[in-house]
This record gives sequence, C-alpha cells and structure tokens, in this order.
Amino acid sequence: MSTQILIDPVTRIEGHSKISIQLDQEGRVEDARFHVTQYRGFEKFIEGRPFYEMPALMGRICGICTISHELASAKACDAIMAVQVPPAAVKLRTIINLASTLQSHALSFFYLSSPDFLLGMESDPAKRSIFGLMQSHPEVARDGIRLRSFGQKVIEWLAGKRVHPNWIVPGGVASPLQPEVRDRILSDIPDMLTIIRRNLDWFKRKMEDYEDEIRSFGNFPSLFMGMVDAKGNLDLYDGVLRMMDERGHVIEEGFAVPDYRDYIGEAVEPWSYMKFPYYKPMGYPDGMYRVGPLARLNVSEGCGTPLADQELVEFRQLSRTVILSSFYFHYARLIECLYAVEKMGELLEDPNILHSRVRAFAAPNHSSGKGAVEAPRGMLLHHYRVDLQGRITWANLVVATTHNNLAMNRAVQQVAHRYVDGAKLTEGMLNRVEAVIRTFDPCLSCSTHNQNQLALHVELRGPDGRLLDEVIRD
Amino acid sequence: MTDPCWDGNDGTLMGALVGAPFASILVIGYGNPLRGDDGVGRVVLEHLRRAAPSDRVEYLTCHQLTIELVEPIRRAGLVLLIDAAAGDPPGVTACQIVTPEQESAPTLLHYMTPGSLLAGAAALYGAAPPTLLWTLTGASFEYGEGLSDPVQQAIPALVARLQACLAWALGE
Repeated sequence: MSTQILIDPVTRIEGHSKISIQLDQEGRVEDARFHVTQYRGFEKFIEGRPFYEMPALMGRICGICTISHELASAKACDAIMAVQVPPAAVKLRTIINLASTLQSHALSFFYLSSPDFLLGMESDPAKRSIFGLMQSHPEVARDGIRLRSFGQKVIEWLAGKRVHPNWIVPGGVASPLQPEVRDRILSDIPDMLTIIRRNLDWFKRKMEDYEDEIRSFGNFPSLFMGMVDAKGNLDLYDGVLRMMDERGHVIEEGFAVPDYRDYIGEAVEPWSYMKFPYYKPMGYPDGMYRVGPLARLNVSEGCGTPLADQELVEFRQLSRTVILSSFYFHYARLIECLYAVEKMGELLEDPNILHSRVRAFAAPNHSSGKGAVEAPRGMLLHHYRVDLQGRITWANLVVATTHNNLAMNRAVQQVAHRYVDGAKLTEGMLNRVEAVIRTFDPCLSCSTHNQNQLALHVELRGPDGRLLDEVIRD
Repeated sequence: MTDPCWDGNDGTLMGALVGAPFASILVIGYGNPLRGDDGVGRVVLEHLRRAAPSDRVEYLTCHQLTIELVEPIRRAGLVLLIDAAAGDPPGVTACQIVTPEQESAPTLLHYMTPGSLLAGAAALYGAAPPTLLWTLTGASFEYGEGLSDPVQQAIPALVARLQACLAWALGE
C-alpha cells in the first residue's frame, strides 16, 4: 500500500495551502498535489453591490497586487459603462501598473528568493532571509529595498497611499498628475535602472551554480499565455491574449479579453479551493499553460524599451525555442523590472501626461463587463454582470496565480520526484519544494511573507497510519 | 530646560536627545486606522504636523513598520515613533528609547518591531540614529474607525509633549 507525505500548512502564501506527496510501496513519488485550502468568497459577497464600488472592494483581495485588482476591476466597469477612458488616464493607469509590478517583482526576487541564491539552498534556514542577506550581502539587500521602495512611492505619489488607494476609478483615475510628482519620479529613474542592471549582472553569473535546479524546477513542456499590444510587444495594461506552445509556435495570435470563455475553461478539483484554468481547445488537463514573467517574455515579440530588449536578446539565447524551466521566472522578473522603469520614464516624458481630463462618466450601458491586466504574476481578469441599476448580479475572477495552478502542481511533482527520498524526510527536500513554488511567486505569497524559513510540519505515515517520520520547522 | 522626554510618571529620565540640535528629524506615526485606537499614532502625527511644520522634519504615516523605512531612517539624525499600546488605563503616554535588536529578526515582512527596524538600518548603513518610541495606551482595538474617548482626550497633551520634544531636538 502507498504512503502519503503531508506538508501542512505551507506558509508564505496568501491564506493557506498544503502539499501532499503520495509514495508507492517502493517509496517512490507517485503523485504530488498543491492544495489551496482557504476560501475567499469575493465573487459571492459583492453580489448586490453597485458596480462602481468594485475597484475599491476588489483592491482588498490583496495587499501586494492591490493595484492589479483595482485596474482589472476598473476596466470591467469601463466596459459596463461603455466609456472611452481619456488618454492621459490610460497612461497614468499604465504607470501605476508598472510601479506595482516593480515593487512586487522586487519583493519576490530580493526579499523572498535571492537569499536562496546568495546564501545557498542548503544554508541555515534561520539566516536564509532578507535579514541574513543584510549581514552577508548588504549591497544586494539595499538595492532590493530601494527598488521596492521606489515602486511603492510611485504608487503613493500617484494614488495617495501605497496599499488600497482609491485613485483608480471606473472611467479613469480620480485626479491628474502634478508636474512636481512627475519630476520627482523621473529624477529617480536613472538610479533604478542602475540598480536593476547591477543585479541582473550577478544573477546571470549565479545561475551557473543552479544547473540542477534549472533542470528540475518546473522544467516541462506547457503552453504560455501573455498580453501583447498591436505590435506583439509586451504590454502589462492592455492588449490581446497570445497563446504559445512549448515549441514556440503561436497557437492563438491574440484573442480579445471579452472572448476569454471561448479559450479558457476552469476545472474544479475536490481537493483544492483554487480553480484549474486550462486552454479549452486542448481540454483538461492537457491544456495546461503558464502565465507571468516567463510566459510574457516567451510570447512577446519584444519589450519595446531599449535596455530590456537588449536583455531579452540574451535571455532568449537560453533556448532555441521557448524557455521552459520555471527557474527562469526569476531572470524574467528582473528583465520586467528594467522594462517597467524604462516604460515609466517614457510615459512620463509624454507632454499629455499632465492633462487635466482623466475620467469619463456614464451610467451602466451594458449588462456585463470584462477587464484584464497583466498582474505581476500573470493575467488577471474580472468579469461582472449587473442589473439595470448597475448592481452586481454575478462575478467571475480569474486570478493570475490560478492560471498557474496546474503548472504548480506539475512542478511540485517534478521536484518531489527529483528530491524526495520516501524513507526519510530532509531539510533539503523541504527547501526545494518551497523554492519551486516560489519561482511562480504565487499571490498565495501575500498574507504572511514569512521571510526566512517556512513553518512546515511534514509527516510521513505508513499505510496503517503509523507515524514513521516527522519534521517540524517552526 | 527640562528634557521634554522626562517621564514624570516614573521619574525615569529619557535623555535620548544628546546630540541636539539635530539637522533632520523623522517622525513616523503608524497603526491601523480600521482597528479603533490602533490608529492613534497616525492621528497624533497629523496634529503634530500641523502644529510643528518644519523643513527639517519629515513626517511619515504608515500601517506598520516595514523594512523599506530603513531608507528615511538612515537619513535622519533623530527618529520619533508614535504608536498605540495595550495597557490599562487607556490614555496614558509613555516614552522609551529604542535600541537595535540584533538578536531577534522578525519572521513577517509585513511587520517589524522598532528594534528590528533599527537593527536593519544599522546592518545596512553602519549605524542607526537615536530613536524614541512614544506610545498612548488604547481602550479598544476592535474593528472600526474612530478613537475611543480616553484616547481622544489624551491626544492634545501628547501632541504638546511631542512639540516640546521637537523644539528641543531642533534647538529652537
């Protein structure tokens, strides 16, 4: 009979999850699953609320991706109102999305992941954290803090506060940009570019030490999906959705967000509260796809900004087709940081950015609306239906991390197969399971941000339920 | 002139202002305004900002202390933190010197203690500025906006003490 290893809870996630690893009689990994065990309920409790409340309400889904949810929600509301958002507001929404991406990527790379790279996957968990990094690599820690702080400050300067601001509204934004704010942001951009390039340099060298992880961390064929603009370039605010296969063939050149249900299905499994999106033409679960930084750089023609495009050329030399290993999410995040800062600068230099007209007003003119942006972790979509008075009657959210659910499960299986010895649990095994989840930077990471070791309780039980081995890490 | 950080309640001299006048001062009022009296730090800061504007004083409000604050901290000659505290009775002010906590590192990135924040600043920039933590005991930390009566009534006196503290620290 087989044995199950249960890792419960997995911390450093938004809410709760656990990982179960099933062993066969020979102690080999038979299956592994990533279970999301918390129910959020936003799609239900907003029913009956006026649509125009949605950006403010939905921003509270998350403290890190608050801007992403507010933007996707506002775009869905724009569609309900059938308005055209003023051009200056489109640019301002884009800038705040870029700032949000930057601070989120900085958190993921510097605070959560670089301790693994610089201190080692096997290093003392008590020191393997941003705080340990402050002692061992203060220059990297300083860079990460400055970069994240800059992203947060841009959000605060534009929107009034860095978490759950009320500036992104249906029809546009609540207030125009002031010249002194524009100048303040622009003055910091050169330093931020320098920081990102400096850290790209050491990371590219450091990757050579992680060949085994590159081979086994979520390194499998899958589809990739990302948002692109009319030229096929990376666009985090608006565009069409492109789907690419593992050989680099574009299988969907670009479908419109309102048509998403023709292309994306959502399956449900009894052992997880998180849904399992899949590419409908290929069915479930063959239609597994990945989203997020790696996917976006795979599907895009380019970034459209000079320094990021330069880095993208080098990035693409990792493979003749597409980059498959999820380890390279980290590398892609840094390139997107470069793109975000460059693009911010480009938009702020536009003379129209200070225009006073930043909001369109209308009553509900459609009975439903869909809005999507590229959140730091992938495509985020809000879909609402409203009654004649504009009250929400139904909602569906397809959250970035959800798209990666099938892939995360597959990645956990892969790491478990590679590292788990069924007879004995080890610290190294636990670290690798955590680290592969971390490559996806799931939004499940938001609520606790336990920055060094995860609080894990792993039990190895025999078929009769007898406890064979146990590891508790507080 | 009496050190304005003298805590008359227990006679302890909080003489942390050696080095005054300071070229730059950072004041951080923090707490959750949706948890009753936990938001008092931010309210007190806003009163103080209006009462004591100065181009040598940087005022910041935030939900909780996070690592990103090491940046403004390292630029400051003196740091004043303002927060709510649990305790009985409500409305009691206290002031204490904060020292870097080298041994304990927080496990949650969303929240740091004053001591661990100073330790972070010291680790990254070689030193941490002298820091005082001013607290006001709260009556209620339940969900909801607004401050309790005892806390509201205690604010003017705390603001006056902080104003005096700032004046001393600025050499005015």
